[in-house]
Amino acid sequence: MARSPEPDATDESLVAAARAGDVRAFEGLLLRHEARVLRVLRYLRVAPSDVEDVAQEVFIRVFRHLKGYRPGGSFEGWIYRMTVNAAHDHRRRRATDSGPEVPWTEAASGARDPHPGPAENADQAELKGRLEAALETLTERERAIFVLREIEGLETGAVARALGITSITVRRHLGLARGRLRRSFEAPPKEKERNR
Amino acid sequence: MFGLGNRSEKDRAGEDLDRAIAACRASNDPAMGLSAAARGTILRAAHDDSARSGAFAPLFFPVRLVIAAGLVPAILVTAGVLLSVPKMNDAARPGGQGVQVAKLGDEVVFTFANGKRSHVVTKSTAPDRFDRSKAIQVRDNRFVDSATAGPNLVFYRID
Repeated sequence: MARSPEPDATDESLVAAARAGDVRAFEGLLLRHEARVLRVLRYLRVAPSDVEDVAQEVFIRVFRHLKGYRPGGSFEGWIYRMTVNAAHDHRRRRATDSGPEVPWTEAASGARDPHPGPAENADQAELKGRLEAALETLTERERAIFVLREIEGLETGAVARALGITSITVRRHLGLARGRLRRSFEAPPKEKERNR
Repeated sequence: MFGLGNRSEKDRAGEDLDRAIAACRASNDPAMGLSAAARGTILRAAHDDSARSGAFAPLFFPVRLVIAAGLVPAILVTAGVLLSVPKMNDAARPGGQGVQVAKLGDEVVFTFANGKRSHVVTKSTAPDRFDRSKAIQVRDNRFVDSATAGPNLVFYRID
């Protein structure tokens, strides 16, 4: 009889069960990490209409590569790596299939998150929208590093492990990313500029 | 003067960037989730993969093969391949598929081509009693045993 995903089960135990073929255990992992994957895909500038498709791809890859996951490592970091890779592949496919990438219209138009948090006020929403739009100015690597380090709050070493790069590379690209983003913030917001 | 003004603008931009980051962090919604349809697609794909993959066969489809061989393996292999399928469900493959047995000289050679990378072979003289502590781990899809040494009748259980 299939069991329900256990909320108290560790990632390690769920991974072990899923590796042995327990799809319900895999469902537990899916429920636990789906918000993280969706959020990161969004900040990695995957178009909203494609986010769910790419997230599906992430989790199917995760299941198919569970054997490659080494127990004792961070499953969270492993998920991040799969997510970044899937976003990269998606971008590449987009570029190959349909020429120039479809812009991420929500942020570009300054539209707000449809489900703002309770503490989110108009000012915060505006800043968030500006940052999301400014992320487009970064290279893919800078964006991935910035999102994992600054928005997801991973330690530098964890970002390095998740992306398979050195901590020095993380710090260097993070500095470049922050510099670019800060310059984007030096320019006044378009709406304010128009009102002047 | 210009330098100070320029610096101040940079500082302000840096502060705005930090506030924007904080806003993004604050709005991370843990309740955000996939649609039921997307979850269903993922889990269906996982289930289909499991069904196709021999790696998952032991838990999903616990097919137990009990293969008898003996002093005259050619005869026993033809007549004595028995299957015991305790909890086989509809999706299970027919037992024995992917396992070939042949007598080569004085040896019985089992060849596994069911997608699994490793198998556990247990021998016994009784088909209902296998001592798992004497099980042999087979990793190269091939298990060879003597056809002449040991008891006259030997049962092999392959997991």
